[in-house]
Amino acid sequence: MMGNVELRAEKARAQAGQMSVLHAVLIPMLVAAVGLPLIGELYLVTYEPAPWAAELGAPLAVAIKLLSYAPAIAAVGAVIMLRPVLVEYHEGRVVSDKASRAFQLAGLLALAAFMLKLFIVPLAISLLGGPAFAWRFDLLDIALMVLASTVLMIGGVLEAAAASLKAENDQIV
Amino acid sequence: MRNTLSFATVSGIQSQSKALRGVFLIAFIGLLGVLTGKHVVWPIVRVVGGAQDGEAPSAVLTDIGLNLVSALPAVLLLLGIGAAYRVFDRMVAGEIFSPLNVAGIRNVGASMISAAIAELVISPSLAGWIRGDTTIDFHFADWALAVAVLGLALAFIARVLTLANQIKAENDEIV
Repeated sequence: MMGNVELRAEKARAQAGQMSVLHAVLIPMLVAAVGLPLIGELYLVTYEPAPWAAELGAPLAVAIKLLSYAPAIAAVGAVIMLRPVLVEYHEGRVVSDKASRAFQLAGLLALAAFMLKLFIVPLAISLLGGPAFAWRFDLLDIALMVLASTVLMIGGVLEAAAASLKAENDQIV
Repeated sequence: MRNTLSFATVSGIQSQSKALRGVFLIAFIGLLGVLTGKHVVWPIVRVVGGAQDGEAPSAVLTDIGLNLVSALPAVLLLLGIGAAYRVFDRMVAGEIFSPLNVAGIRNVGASMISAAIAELVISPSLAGWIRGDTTIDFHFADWALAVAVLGLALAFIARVLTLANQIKAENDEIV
């Protein structure tokens, strides 16, 4: 029976390794999916500005473009942050402080991405002279924010478990 | 797993979970209300309006089909929120990594993955088929990939916690 659990644990470790490879492939794709259009748009607002960009001037137009990509950048950051989680699990460190902190950070960045998308970016863009702030009440974004907070909380619980286990081990030693 | 957590840690988790449970309940009710309005009430209004205006039934059915298909990712996310609510509800009761809670975490992960897949492939393809296309469409949504990866990580953590629970149960049996 114990052998069976060990076998499954080994399988889970192998799966973490496979996910880690998949993750490593996905990151450049995500960076390219966000970075390339951003570079293109920055080029356009700087060298071939649309009427709105020409009216605002290049620095403000560039700032608006950068801001509009901030949620996507935060979302990519959340995905990148999962790397230590997969690496730690692959190395068999299940109750790992590093992994749980990375998991928390991933949740935090995902939450930040949706906060940026819903409130901060539209408001900042309107303050910079872009389109007026009109909050679009998108419940899908709110649902995603709620689920991102789940990731954050589970990361927190795992971190607490890791800290408790470490304290218990330190007491024994 | 619970035995590894100190009383203070469990109390902290319980109070945080209590706050989150309330937020999740509000989010669940809000999303359910909006989904009911957009994808239950609206189709009924559309059928009645179409019948009154003498519209072709196929046009009305196409509109309703597209409307229902577009609801799929949100419905799956709603299921995820429901599962997360139950997880935090158990955490409030002091069950942190119980088998039921681990299964709940896995369900949240599965809902996030399936919502992302629905947004990326299933909903656009079904919408295309309703319009008469026969291809598989792919709609790149910036949030969907990130949610899929986070969902995968949650599902994986649930798997690891299941193993931890099994190991603990076996150790308890030996002792």
